[in-house]
Amino acid sequence: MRKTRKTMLMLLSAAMMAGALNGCSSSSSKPEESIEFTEAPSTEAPTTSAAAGGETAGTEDQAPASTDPNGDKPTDEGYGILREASVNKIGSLNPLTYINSYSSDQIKRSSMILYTYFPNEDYTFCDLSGELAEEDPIQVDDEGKVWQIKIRDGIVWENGDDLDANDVYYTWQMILDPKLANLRASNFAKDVIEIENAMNYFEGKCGWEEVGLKLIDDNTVEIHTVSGHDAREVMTHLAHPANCIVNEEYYEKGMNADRTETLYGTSLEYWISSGPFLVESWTNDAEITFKKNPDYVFKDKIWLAGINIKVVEDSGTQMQLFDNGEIDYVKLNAETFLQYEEDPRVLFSPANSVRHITINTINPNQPILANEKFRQALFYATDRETIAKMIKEDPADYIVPTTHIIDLDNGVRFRDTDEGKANTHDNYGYDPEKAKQLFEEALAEEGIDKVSTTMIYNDAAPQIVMSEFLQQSWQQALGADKFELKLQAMPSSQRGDLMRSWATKPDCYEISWGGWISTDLMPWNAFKYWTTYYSAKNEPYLSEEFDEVFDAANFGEDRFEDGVRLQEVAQMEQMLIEPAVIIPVTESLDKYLKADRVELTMKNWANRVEWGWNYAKITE
Amino acid sequence: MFRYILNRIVAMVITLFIIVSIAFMVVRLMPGSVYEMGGDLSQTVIDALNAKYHFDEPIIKQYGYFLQNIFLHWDWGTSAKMRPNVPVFEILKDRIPITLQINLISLFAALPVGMAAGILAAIRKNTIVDHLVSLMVVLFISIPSFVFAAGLQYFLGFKSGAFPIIYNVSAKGLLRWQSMFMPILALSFDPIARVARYLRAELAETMNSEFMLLAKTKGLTYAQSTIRHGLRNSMVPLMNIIIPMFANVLGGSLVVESIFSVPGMGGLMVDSINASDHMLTVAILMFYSLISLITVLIVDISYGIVDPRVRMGGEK
Repeated sequence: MRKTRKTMLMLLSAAMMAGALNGCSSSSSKPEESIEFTEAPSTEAPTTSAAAGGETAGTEDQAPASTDPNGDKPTDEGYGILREASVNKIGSLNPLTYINSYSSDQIKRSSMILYTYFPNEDYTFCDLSGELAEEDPIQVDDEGKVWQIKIRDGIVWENGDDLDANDVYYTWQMILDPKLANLRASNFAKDVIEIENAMNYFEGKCGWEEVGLKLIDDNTVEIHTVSGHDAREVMTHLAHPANCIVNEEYYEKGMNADRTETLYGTSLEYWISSGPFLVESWTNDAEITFKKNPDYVFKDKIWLAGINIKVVEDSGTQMQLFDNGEIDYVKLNAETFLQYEEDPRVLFSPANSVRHITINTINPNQPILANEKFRQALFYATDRETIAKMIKEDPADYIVPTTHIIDLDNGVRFRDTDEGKANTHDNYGYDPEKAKQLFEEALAEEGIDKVSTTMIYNDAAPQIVMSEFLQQSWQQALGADKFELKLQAMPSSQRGDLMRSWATKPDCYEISWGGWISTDLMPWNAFKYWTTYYSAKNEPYLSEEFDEVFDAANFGEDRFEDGVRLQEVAQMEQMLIEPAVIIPVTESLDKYLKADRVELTMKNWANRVEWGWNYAKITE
Repeated sequence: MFRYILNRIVAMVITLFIIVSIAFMVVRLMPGSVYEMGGDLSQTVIDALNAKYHFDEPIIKQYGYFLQNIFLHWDWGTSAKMRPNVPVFEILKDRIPITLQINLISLFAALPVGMAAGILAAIRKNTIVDHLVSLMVVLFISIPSFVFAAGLQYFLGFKSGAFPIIYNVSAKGLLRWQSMFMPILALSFDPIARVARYLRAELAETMNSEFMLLAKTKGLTYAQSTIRHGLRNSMVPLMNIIIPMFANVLGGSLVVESIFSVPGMGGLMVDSINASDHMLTVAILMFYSLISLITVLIVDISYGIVDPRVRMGGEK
């Protein structure tokens, strides 16, 4: 027995030691960059002066070439590593299956795409132009339904293989493959434009030869659309990350025997880069390092030698890393922003989204939610300015964010037009007296004397702050004896799932929060979330009239005529605000704190390219 | 003995099967669909994906496919959201080693410290040393490991710069171990306290027993009687708390891993549940269940070795 016991103990010890040693997995390393504080960039936000010499920072007043380690123009290797920290994980670099926008950002960093947004020449705005495509699409027919795209010569993959029209065509075949059933097929097949028979093929209703995607030759592909479009719409559609090109060899290498799934883009073994940066090392869910692609066609736009991203889920840890000089910028939340509110290094970044209150008008337990006057009462009882001050955002009594541009040629923002202004209200729509009056009328119409309703919200800032404020202020405005707002916190994903189940469970929620990130250069497309056919609607707003206006703005024959789209966008906004289908509250604003060692080449925040981190310089 | 172990293993497998079955049902019955995630996905694509992975079929049929894939192909499915198309065990395979490494090292590092503190407190019972050890035990047990983790990160990482603020996945050799120090330390406090408390109680009781008096009467010194008789007798019951303690430490690492950005199993379960990545959630639950069951099995076997009456199971 004594011997057996000893043997067992030895075995147990050996097993535990083996487990411990097994954890010593290897991973590629990246040399650390040293930190040196020099100067901050010129931005729309307040700028800092240079640490030494008091020299005003800014791209127009760049340091002399002799002191700028970047030199006069970007080298093939680039200079300096931009160090980022992210709460998000990449998951997959496969453009056909990626899950979140963070992943798509990294995919675009390391993949070629037909068209994309670059900074314009003076780095003040975005410019949609060809990356893999040599030029704008060429209209082949009179109706604008057939377009040819020429592919640039000399584009290569990381391994030196040619990247040409055959790769584009293979990507198209894969994204619509019915057996693979790729997640991003819908983004590709129907969004700004609709490709002929694409979804029919995806559903197995027709053959590939009937799909409006053609390979003309090694340098030309052709697209056939359902409706007529202009070149810009075609380019906008093809600039979606779902259109990043996949490599046939690696895609097939990761394919399973049934051809139903591929491991493409899930690890370095199944990934090959082609974009502005090459993936140098990647430890899933922990760290990814990019290096500048010396063969990139627009390598002269890239100053950086590389980008290193660490996954750091805890925001407090991110702040410590930033303060310790280990990362170059950090996103500030409502709490941390208070500490840095006056810091000149803070960058403001419009999030292309309006936070709004969404109402389940078909909840059988709360028929008053269907009452238009009740919803309007909530609209006018919402003190947007106070809420905005609390969460450090901008008050919004509208749906189309201020960043949205209605006339791209002249750079006119929708909110600056007369039509846009007409949809706004005095005092951002806060009118307690009107709210009280509408509330009383609603009670009378419904034949009740008190309302008690529940708002579900994310168990995180800023929704906690906003919800708690509304609980008090609505009760104060509408009368505490007649109105009660109960609050129920839950995780974001659970809340989203619950809200979207209204079609099968009409009583799933009563009031909650919403906010869609929309296409800032196509405000007419931003209203798709309220069409009857949108698949992930938060609220049961089903209006054929609204669909008609949306379709007219997006696909109507007269949509290119002067002012037509402007009128239609204003009309759609009005159709949602007037009956208070949703109640806009604030316009989202992201805040970043940037290290002085990073100099942004963008002179201001710009649509699509935002602060242009990929085009930044490291000044050491 | 062999039959006893076999019985325990069979019981473990049955328990695991039941746990996995319940886990499967629970995650599939959660509200919301895997692919209704609020993005710009058309209903056609959502329907195609639901059909591809049988999410559109009754739950009992889904369970049938699940079992069929496991028993016929040892296929536990692929991740839908966290790492699309990657087999779930591939994801666990990447994550488990670092979690086991940190947890095992913290446990092994805690044992000698905890034992030393326990022995010291027992042989200096009711002195200032005993009181200090007791205070340490109370603090280490009552304060959660993530509080220690945050404190260590702030003072040792951020303020003093003695250690990296987060775990450095790309570092090698000494740098890598240096970045592992703080998560290991944060996880060690609880086992140190538990071992110290347990050993102090056992040893103090043993020291007052009659055979210790006999040992001293026979002429053994205080140190000889304590080490040869007192300590040896107190160690046997200690063995039975060390192995289950591993499961406790594993639970504590959920938050500690997140604080130090350790790409281990810690946040994976929460992330997979939030993302409605059902197959991954089931696989993670299976992993944690398996660890717990194995610790119970080892304890059962060790009981059987120490006390043959246990493995007799009441048979005459």
